[in-house]
Amino acid sequence: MGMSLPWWKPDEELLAATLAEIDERAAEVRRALAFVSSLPDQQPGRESGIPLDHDRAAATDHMGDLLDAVGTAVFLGASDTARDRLGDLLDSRAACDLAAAAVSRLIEESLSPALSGLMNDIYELVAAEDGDRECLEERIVDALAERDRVELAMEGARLLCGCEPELDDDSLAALASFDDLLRAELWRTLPLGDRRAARCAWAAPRYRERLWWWFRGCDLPHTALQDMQTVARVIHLFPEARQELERMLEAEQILDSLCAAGRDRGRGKVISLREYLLRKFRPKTSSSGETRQMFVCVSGPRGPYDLAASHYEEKPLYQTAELTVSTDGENLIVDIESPEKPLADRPPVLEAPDHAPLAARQAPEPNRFEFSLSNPVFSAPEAWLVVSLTTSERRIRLPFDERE
Amino acid sequence: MARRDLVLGEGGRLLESLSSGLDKKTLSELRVAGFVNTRVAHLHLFKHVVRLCDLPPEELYASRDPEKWSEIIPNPPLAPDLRARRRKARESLAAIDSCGLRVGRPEGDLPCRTCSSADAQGAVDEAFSDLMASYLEAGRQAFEWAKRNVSERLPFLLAFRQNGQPGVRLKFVDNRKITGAGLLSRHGGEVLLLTCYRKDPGRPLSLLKLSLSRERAGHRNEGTLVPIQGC
Repeated sequence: MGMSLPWWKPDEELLAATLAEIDERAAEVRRALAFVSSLPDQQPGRESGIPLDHDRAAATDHMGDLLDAVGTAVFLGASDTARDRLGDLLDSRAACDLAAAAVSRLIEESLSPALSGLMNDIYELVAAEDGDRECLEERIVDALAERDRVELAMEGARLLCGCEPELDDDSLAALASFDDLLRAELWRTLPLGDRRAARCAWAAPRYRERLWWWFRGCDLPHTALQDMQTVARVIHLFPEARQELERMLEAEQILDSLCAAGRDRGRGKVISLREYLLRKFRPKTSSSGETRQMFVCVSGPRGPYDLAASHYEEKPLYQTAELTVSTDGENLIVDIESPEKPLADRPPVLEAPDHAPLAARQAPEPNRFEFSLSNPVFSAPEAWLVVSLTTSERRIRLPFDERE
Repeated sequence: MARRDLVLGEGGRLLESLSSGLDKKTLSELRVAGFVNTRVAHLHLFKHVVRLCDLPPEELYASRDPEKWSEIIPNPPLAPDLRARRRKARESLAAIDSCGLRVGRPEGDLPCRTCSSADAQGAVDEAFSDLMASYLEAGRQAFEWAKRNVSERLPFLLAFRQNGQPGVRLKFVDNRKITGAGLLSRHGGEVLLLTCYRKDPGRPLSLLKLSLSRERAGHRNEGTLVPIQGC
């Protein structure tokens, strides 16, 4: 099965372009910093109170461009490589100040002005006609791309500074305001469908959730809002069905709270299969904060992808002579081991109480099947994995019996 | 300028070609035919060129056009002074009874998007035909440049599908940093623009490429990328 090989690798062309961009932009930032610091009374410290003049603005622009590329590298899992390329900029107070100024500028000049148009477009998307709808989609994608830029720049600044960038209060408030308004209406972007998934799928799986405006519900079909209309009609015609709907909603909420409680209180609590598998995948990191800290604290010489690879590997969870079940943090993976073969037209199925059976999708590799952990079935606390082989059928309980 | 059939029909060479990706010959035959519909065309014209609507307040009342049209269109048929340009446009629009952009309408309103008046659309097309032709020509040139220069390493053009629909979408950027998006129709490989403008003239071209590279990698991972063969 090749467990030692990383299952997910950054897009080679994207990574190469990103690293080349870091080199080019870092050189520009070094030049700009040297020039600005040589000017009398124009140190790049934000506390100096000096207004942004032309030179300072240009340096800030260069830094914003650099952070875009560095953030991209981090999201590709190549933070060590990016760190190596930044070299002397990593220890520079002036660079850190400039980084914070660059993020603030992006928020002020690119993100905030996009907000009102974005919200109008989001409201109109559902009811738009052909042609107008596709145009609206492009406008929404473009506006949300500004939020990408801010997130990437912030991540770049974290790597550069080794800590959270010190944004001014106005910038933090503007960002929070943007996010609050967007979060409340994000469901209206569901008609974008798989475009949303594609907008975050370039990043390593563990980073996609950080692009939450694309990631949240990106597995839902683009017809999801039309399906809501169907549900409304069902409830209208069959009021008796409301109880079933409310039961389903309640189950989702209970599972969410159980998962949260499990996270808060540690082991021994009821958790969703998704949480269980993710804990198995990365047992030492339970929050994005810890994850981020881990990236920041790593130091010393490393190969270009050492750290990255450690996060992309599959973690085997269950193994027999016939099959191996593993996870990569995004999927539950079933590999049928040679010489055994899967039964034709019978992919592995996950059966969980109160959920329709979920059939695995065939992976590009032979005899490999995958279930996306984002599927609602992984909200269940337990399930049976049914694998039909040419010689037998295996039923494996999840969570796995650790004694097996 | 009306929307064409966006569904690729059976048996067409284009469809055959797209089943495995866009080959170089097919790509070379693609042409920008116009905007996807009149409303979208007018929306872009009055936002990006005339700068009369659909802008944040600070831009709506600014007297300086951030776009340097002379870099995009040789001898643009535009008043260089933004206030004069708007005034002239308002004068032309005043003669079009059913146009929502006429004087009296609150500035910043977005009537083009909901306009259903064929009379108004026709009259606006006629009154602003020079400007629209120049604008479209800039879009055409940008697309042609992107077509000629796209490669695996230089993603100036991106093709993908969305939501399992048969139509193909295109995104492109040229060396002047004009970015655009369009739909591929079946009619002789026409591209119908969804948007086209220079969003951020100050941003390096390489970063716009990086942005398209991210998008391409995402579509590739999602299986929605339409590969461009032989580049």
